[in-house]
Amino acid sequence: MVSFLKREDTIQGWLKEYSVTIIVTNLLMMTVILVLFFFMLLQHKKDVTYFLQLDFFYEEVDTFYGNLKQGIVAGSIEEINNEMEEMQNTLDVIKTMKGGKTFQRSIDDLKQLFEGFKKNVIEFYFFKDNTENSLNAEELYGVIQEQYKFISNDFKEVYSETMNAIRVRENRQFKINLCIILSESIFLGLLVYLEVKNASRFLKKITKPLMQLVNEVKNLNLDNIGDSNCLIQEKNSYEEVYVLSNVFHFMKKRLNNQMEEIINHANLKIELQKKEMDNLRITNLLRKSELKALQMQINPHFLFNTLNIIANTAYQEDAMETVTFLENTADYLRYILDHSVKTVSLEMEFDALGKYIYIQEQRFGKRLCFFVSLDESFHQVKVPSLILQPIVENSIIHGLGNSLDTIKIEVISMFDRQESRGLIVIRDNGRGIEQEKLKKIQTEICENKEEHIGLGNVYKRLQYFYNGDVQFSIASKVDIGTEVKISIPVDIVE
Amino acid sequence: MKYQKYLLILPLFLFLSIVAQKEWGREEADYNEKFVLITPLEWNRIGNGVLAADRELGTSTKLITFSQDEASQIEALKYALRTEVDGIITAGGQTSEKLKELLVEVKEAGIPVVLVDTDIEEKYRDCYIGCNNYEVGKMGGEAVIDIVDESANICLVVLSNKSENQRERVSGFYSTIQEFPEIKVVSILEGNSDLVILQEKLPEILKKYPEIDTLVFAEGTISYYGVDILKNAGIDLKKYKIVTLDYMEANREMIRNGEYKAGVFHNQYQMGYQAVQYLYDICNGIERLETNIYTELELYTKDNIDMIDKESAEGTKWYRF
Repeated sequence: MVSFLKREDTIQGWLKEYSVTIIVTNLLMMTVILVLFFFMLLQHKKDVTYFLQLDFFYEEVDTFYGNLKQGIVAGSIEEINNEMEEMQNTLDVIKTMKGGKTFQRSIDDLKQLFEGFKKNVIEFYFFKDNTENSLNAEELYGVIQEQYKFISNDFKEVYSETMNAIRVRENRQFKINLCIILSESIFLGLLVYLEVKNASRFLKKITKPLMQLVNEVKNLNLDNIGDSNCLIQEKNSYEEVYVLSNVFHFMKKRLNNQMEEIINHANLKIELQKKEMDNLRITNLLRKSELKALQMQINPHFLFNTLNIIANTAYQEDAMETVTFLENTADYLRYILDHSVKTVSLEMEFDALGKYIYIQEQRFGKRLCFFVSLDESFHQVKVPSLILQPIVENSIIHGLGNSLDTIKIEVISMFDRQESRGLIVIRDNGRGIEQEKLKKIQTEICENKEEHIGLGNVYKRLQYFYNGDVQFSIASKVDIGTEVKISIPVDIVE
Repeated sequence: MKYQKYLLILPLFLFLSIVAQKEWGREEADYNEKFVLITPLEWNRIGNGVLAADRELGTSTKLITFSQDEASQIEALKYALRTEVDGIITAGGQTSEKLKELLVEVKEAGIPVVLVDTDIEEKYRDCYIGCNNYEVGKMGGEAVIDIVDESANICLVVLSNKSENQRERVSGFYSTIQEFPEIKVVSILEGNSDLVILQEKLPEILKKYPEIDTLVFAEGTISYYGVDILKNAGIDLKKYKIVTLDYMEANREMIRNGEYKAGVFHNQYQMGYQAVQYLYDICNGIERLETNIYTELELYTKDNIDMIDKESAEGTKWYRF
């Protein structure tokens, strides 16, 4: 029975168990009541039989004795014997009644008296017709009379004892029934107590986790959506509630994942947009450089043709210095036009810068003094074009100013093998820049303001080209000079 | 495991089995020997002793009481004879020739007879179980000596001088008081357990002998009705010191309220019990040579009445003739 009733820890299981308990309890009660009722009915039937038998017995004995008294007993001795046997049998039936010792004794005495009565009646009939024994018949009749009297008295006693025995038995039955009903009530009481306790536990096992779930739902926000703690444990709740809780947590987890995806996506989009903006800005800068180059270009073909004509004329006139000047100018301009938006080697950039320096030396004569010191071991490295010219130009323009003094411009390149970095230094001993202005320039360069398109342009392009791995610094002191340092990564395979 | 609660059924059934066993097994219906106790009064104490022995020995004794006339006793004995009992317990007393003849018939039928409380000649019975009446008389005398101040004029009320037990009690009584010449028996009244005689004669004697200051009731009827008779006759009970040689439930209250000064307790319960035991032994072939078995006696007064016979003389069911 126990194995049959085994259940899982589910609400359905509990309800099943509860139903089984109610059915079993009711069945038990009904069975007990039916058994009691059946037993009482049976007893009642038996009691009625006993009384009917008793009545029959006394009626028969009384009638027989009445007839005997009046001398109208008919039939042979055998027939009389049979009739009396029948009466005696009724006593045997009554004797089967369980009425206790006193009852048993009364019925035994009655039986004994009747047996004596029967014996004497038979004897009496035997002697009655025998005239010689008429004296014995008379004596026997006296004894029969006495026995009938005792039977009559004992019958009353037996009747009363039967009643008494039934009453006693009914009392006992009542006590037993009461005990059964009381015990059953106690049993039911205990069952009800256990069931109520069980129901309370059952409700607690449902409501408590559900309330936890409700609270979790209520308190659900962006801050705690990622909490993966499942407060409802399997052992503390029914399977259904546990499943519901797990489904909720699974849903929360998925929601959290989706939100994370959305956030990541949005971040990526922002970053992309930022990069696009950067690209746009760089493109813009390049276009500005181009524009500037174009502006410088004026009409390159016309200029080249003109420069060539001048160069031929200078050659014909044997003005070799002019020829060199013109050639350098033309080469430099061609470099600007051809490589303004391209990547070039540092070597090419320094070549172009050399031509630019030559032009400026021709222009400013002895007011400019260039000192160039190059470590060409890393000059094969790729750099954006036109990064050096704007710096040198700045040194010339701002270093000279309106002064007629000679300024010295140093162009130095060095290679730090240990760090794998190349360093380009452009230094002048011109007027220098006031600290306040220097700070402003530095800020503007970083923010890429239009005012300092030259340096800012160079800085941004370097940043973009080297993906931020570039060091660009400007240092200046009034009446001492200005120094620009560019440090770039060098990836040279030896 | 949850269904272990159904195991609660087990103690339930166990409990019910115990109850049923206790209820149904309370009275054994079967018995081995059947006896009768035939007494003139419903002597519940003897009856209780008999029933206790029945329970103990598995016998069945029918309690029969008869009217005071002898014919009823004879009829009761005949009934016992006709129902072929295994033994008869009865009381002696004023046994007539007719009754004696019947007792002989009973003995001839092989039915042993035990007499309780009152004895007759040995040839009519197998054993007498009761108090030693001579000793009862002696204890009564000692009680009188204790309660009177050296002298006393006594009226002795007896059943009959023909009654053996009364004679023994009286002689026992005399044997005690004879050493005290100032304690004299002024009058002896034979009441024959007849209330009419007692109501008539007792006040007459007390009137005739005003010096009487002590009453000794030697038999049961006067012990029971004595106080009522005196009260009804308008006699002041305080004038008399009353001692009874008998013991009945009613006497306990009389002792407590000072109407009786002392009495002799006869252990009737023991009489009943031992009578059944005796018959049981005989029926089962155990030789019993005793012809007289004396039961315990004890003097009861106001001081010790609550200690005596504490078992209540609860009613027993009697078959009346």
